Amino acid sequence: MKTKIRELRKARKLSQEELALEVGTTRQTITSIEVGKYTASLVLAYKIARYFGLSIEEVFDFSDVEEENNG
Amino acid sequence: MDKMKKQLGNRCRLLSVVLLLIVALQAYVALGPGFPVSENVNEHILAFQQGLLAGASIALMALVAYHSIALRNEAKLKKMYYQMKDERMAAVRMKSGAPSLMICAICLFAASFAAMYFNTTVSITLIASAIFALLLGVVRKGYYHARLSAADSEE
Repeated sequence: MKTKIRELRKARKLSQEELALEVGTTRQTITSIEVGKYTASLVLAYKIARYFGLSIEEVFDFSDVEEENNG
Repeated sequence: MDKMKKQLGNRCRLLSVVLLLIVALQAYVALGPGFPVSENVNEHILAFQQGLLAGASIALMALVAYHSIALRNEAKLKKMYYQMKDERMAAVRMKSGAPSLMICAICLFAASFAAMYFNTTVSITLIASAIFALLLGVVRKGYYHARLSAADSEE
C-alpha cells in the first residue's frame, strides 16, 4: 500500500526514528510502511494520521483497494 | 511509562528466576551429590550438559543486565518497550511460528538433559532434534522478516 508518510515526515523535518517514537513503534516498521512492504494495522495507521493531523485516507493511498473492489 | 516499567520489570524477574534455577541445578550436579548416572553413559555427555547450562547462565545474565540497564534509563526503556510491542515483529513471530518452535526446542533440551543420565544415544538424538527445531525457527523467522521488512532506506 502506498503512503504519503515520507513526504509528510520530510515536510516536518522528522527522522524515521523520531516518528517511530512518537507513534509507539520501531524505525524499521516505519521504513517498511513507507516503501509499501508492510501494511500498518488500523491502530497504527490511526496514530500516524492523528500525529500529522490528517485523516487515514489522506495519509494512506487506498486506490489499489478501490480498483480491486471495482475490478 | 509505569506500564512499560511494570512489564519489563516482570520480564526481568522471570529471567532472574530461570537463571537462579539453572545455577542451582549446576551447583547440585557439580558440587553436590548430583543425580544417579547409569553405567553405560558417556562421561563427555555430562560435561556437555554442564557446558550447555553454563552457556545458558551467561546468556541469561547478559539479558537480565540488559533489561536492568534499560529500566534505569527512560529513553532506552521506551525504545525497548516499543521493540517488544512492535506489531510488525509480532506479525513475523506469528507467521513464522517461532515461539512454538522455541518451546518445542526447550522441551527437547530438557528431555535430553534427563536422558543424559540413562542413555547417551537417546540424549544426542534429542539434542539434534532440538537444534533442528531452533534452526527451523530461525530460518522461518528470517524468511518472514525479509518479506515484511524493507532494506534500510535513506531518511
